[in-house]
Amino acid sequence: MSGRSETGPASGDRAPEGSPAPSRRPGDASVAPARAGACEKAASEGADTAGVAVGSDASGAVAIGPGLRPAEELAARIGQATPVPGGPDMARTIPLESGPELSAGDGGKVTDGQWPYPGPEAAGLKAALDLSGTVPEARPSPAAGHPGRAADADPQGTGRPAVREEAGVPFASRRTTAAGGAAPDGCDGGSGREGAILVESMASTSLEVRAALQRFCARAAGLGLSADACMALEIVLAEALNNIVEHSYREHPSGWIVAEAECVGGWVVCRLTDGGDAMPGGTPPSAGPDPADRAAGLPEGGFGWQMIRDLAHHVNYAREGEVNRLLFSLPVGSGPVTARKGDR
Amino acid sequence: MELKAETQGDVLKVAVLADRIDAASAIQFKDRMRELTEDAPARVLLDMGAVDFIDSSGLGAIVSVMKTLDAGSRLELAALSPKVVKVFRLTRMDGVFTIHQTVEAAASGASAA
Repeated sequence: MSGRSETGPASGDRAPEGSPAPSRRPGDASVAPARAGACEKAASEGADTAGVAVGSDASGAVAIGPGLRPAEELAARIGQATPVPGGPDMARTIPLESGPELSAGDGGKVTDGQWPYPGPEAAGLKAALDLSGTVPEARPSPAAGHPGRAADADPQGTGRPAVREEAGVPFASRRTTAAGGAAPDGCDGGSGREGAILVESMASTSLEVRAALQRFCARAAGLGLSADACMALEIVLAEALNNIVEHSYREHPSGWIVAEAECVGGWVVCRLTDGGDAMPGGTPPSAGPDPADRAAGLPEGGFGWQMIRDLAHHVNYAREGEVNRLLFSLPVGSGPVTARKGDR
Repeated sequence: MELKAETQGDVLKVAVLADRIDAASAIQFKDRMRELTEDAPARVLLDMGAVDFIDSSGLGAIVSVMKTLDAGSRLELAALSPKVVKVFRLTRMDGVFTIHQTVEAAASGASAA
């Protein structure tokens, strides 16, 4: 288990001069816009580059687009600490490979918190995170007010990972290189496209969550999920994201949230990251409305975690410094997901 | 959140003209429904045909509306999308509401059950 690694002082209270990523220093912000256009144009090639850099694509035919880092630099950077979204006022870092302890398993019998596969830190997701660092964040910086707010002094998003608007690009490229053919466009594949990635970032408002969710789920069809899995993904993501808005950020609109999903070993693995308050007690709620509410009549709340627990597997929450990370997975295959978990 | 209400006999039909009842719209939905269902007749039929997605906030809002109806009224639901049905099933709320396959079926008095 690689724990959280600090590249700056333990206090984490420094501007990103202490960051190990030279290209993300504030001084580079002025060149970022010029690079952005090139990045967008070259994004699909960039995805290939990233795949090669982490050894997940054996073709070796690397096309490095203008504005992208050379593959060697990508490779060197992968595994290094990545600045946490939030910018200079919270210049902390999390290593990409941190997260729940991973172990090889039988792929079937798993319990919460155990991952039967290399998990979302697999090569593809790492590459997506790293690649995304070359694309500046376009969202205007919201006002100060919450410790997890977006960086006011850092509009180029020098410290924000995975803020790529074209979330489907790496996958679109990947499926023609790694998967060797066109992926199904509909939501009925049920096979899952290994290494396919989706990334969305959003501010902590219910409207932003709605928009991001709609974009995310529209693209989820391209992951080759079954219709059931798409449905479950949308339900679980909606609940988890709205919980972050409501509880982690307490409805404060200037927080940031990043949602990532990757197909790994027959599962779609999701990771939600935010800079809000920690979950009370350090663990996700077990399930369902309060029994007292039930006794007093029909409950009007508490359904969210009930649905997450019913649908999602491997639910794992971690507080990393001042960042929350919620991981969970859903089977990509067809069949009634509820039945699969119902006998638990 | 746009709702269209019309009364036919002892049935108040309310059609939801939005594709989502979610955290962003639940409070608006609840407030609007409360206005519309003041002095409601015996049956209030919520036409969900346009609603593609509902989350726990939206579900909570519907439960809340039902609980605030006058004693002589009851809330029924019609034309639920597969995603909406799934949310009702997962939360066991499908056993709490009378759910009709279609608005027409509801009008004829037949329930989905």
